[in-house]
Amino acid sequence: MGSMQEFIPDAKMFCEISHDEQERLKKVHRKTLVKMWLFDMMINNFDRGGANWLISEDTIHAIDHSHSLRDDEYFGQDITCYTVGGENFFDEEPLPEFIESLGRFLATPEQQKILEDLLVELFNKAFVRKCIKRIKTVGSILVRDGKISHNKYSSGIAVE
Amino acid sequence: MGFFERILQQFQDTPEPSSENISAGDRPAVSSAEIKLTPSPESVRSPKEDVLSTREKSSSVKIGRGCTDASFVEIRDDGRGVFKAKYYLNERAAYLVDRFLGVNLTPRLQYGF
Repeated sequence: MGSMQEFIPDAKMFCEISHDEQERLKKVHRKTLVKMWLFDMMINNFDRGGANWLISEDTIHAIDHSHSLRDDEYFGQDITCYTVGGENFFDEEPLPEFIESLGRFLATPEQQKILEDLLVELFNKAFVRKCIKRIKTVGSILVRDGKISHNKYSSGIAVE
Repeated sequence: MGFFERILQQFQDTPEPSSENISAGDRPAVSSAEIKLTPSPESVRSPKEDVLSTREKSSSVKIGRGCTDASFVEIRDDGRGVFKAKYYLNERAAYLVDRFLGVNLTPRLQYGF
């Protein structure tokens, strides 16, 4: 039993490229990095080191989510804003298409139910409810404000 | 012995974390034997997932980093995939969230082999 993931042949691990190239590509993909930072917040991924994302001229890929969606005493209460590539992205807006997609998900209970049912195949129901609540909490802030405010949330986000 | 059974046998020498040291989220709510392969819903599914789950696999090379017992696997007529025998439920869950929210940064992933 295990998982099989598509191999991305034309991308490199972020930690494998030179510092100058890292800085250049981070500028190229700034809004996508914001999106990955927000995604990590929702899935409680604290392990987005340079070996856990791939980068190319075209895009970035998020890999290795073995430390994501793990229950701990704070999972259902507080959302920590971790870093991506040593940076955080408070007050920065992701691509508008991502906010629109989040808005559609939040406005569609049927989609939420399908995701919940699929996650229940993997984890227990109580934990899945916590997952959905985290997603809704971060998603609602983004749909309302378009970003995560440093002033409001630098010390974390309370799950509602 | 099947291909994945051989890979899994390689991993059996690696000790699992003791139950005292892992949180509830580390453990599946059901046993591995109860898990059945469930395709993603049409709205987030791609043909690539079918290739990953059905296409014949050949050689594998263990990846020397990380804690997830990952291997590069050759997929017939479709390049390579990355097989993980640990924490695959977390991988699958993160992939599903990625697709449902329109993040679309996580490479296609299937589980349940």
